[in-house]
Amino acid sequence: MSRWNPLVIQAPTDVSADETFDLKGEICPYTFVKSKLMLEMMESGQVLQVIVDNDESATNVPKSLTNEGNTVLGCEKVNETDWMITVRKK
Amino acid sequence: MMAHPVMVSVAWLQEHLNDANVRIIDARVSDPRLPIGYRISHIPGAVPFDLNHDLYEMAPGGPHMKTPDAIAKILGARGIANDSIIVLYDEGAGPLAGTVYWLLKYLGHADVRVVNGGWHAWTQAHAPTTRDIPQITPATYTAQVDENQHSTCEWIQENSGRADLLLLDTRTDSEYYMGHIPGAVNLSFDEAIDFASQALKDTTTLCAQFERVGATPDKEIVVYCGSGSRSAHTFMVLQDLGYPRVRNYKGSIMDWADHHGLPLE
Repeated sequence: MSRWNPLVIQAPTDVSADETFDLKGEICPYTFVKSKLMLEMMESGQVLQVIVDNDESATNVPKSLTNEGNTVLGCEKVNETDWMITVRKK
Repeated sequence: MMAHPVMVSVAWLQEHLNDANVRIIDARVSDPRLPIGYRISHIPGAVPFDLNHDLYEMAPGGPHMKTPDAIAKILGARGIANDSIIVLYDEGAGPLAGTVYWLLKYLGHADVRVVNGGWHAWTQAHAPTTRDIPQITPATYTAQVDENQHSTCEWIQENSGRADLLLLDTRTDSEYYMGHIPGAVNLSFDEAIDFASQALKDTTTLCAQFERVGATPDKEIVVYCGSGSRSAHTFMVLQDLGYPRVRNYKGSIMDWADHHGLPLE
């Protein structure tokens, strides 16, 4: 049984991603460090979709990106293992 | 108390860049999809250390830490000896540098420093960078494992009744409230980082944050997180503040709950 219980947020249907970053197979802390680095290369207001395949990352990536001032628009389980995190850069 | 502080400034490293005994380790992310990292540009003389390849090896059930001797061989091949002064950096004062810092202390390395603010601070200061790969003279590195830098679930269980022991969960508050090791207090590792400068917060602020959750220097503090990297960052911060007894539970929640089935509260 998973020790994490990510907060599910339904992303608005009218939001499209400017970048998608597949971080499947990556573990903590790479998932949030790489998400942050990708956001640093994007413009303010742009939307990033990050795909992770473990519950730990689906829990702490949204929180870490929020702590840095970004807006998490969605955190949704898309299949048995994968989560799609949608975030708008501050 | 520490003989020297862990965190050093950009100016300090610039002054010591060409010291014969200084070895610089670049612990930043290496991902071909990102136009950053060691292969693009680094601090002159630095050698890379990629946690994904140099610390972990894939095994059934997820990545496992390599043996101390295997890691020692990698360090030696990169020109690092037991008496080297190692200076680490990552993107900021982040968890990758923290993880390599803990690893080196666990391997018994005496003198490990970390650039406060990391690559961000280095480039903000317009300090020199290069793409040149340094010429390396291989050295002999011998792991002298220091178990006082490390905790296991057995050690926590044997010591859990001690009044001077504090378990510090360094995950986010939401992870903590989903279930933590009984008796642990919570302070997320990134509370130590000033996001604007990517350096650590000032000492007074850091001490106040730790003391607010009961993490005082008179206690032996065991830090943990999900898999031992975020907690390694807190381990580094506490050692920089001069806390004399700090252990990182590298296995963390994955070991405690998933591998051993021990209870969470």
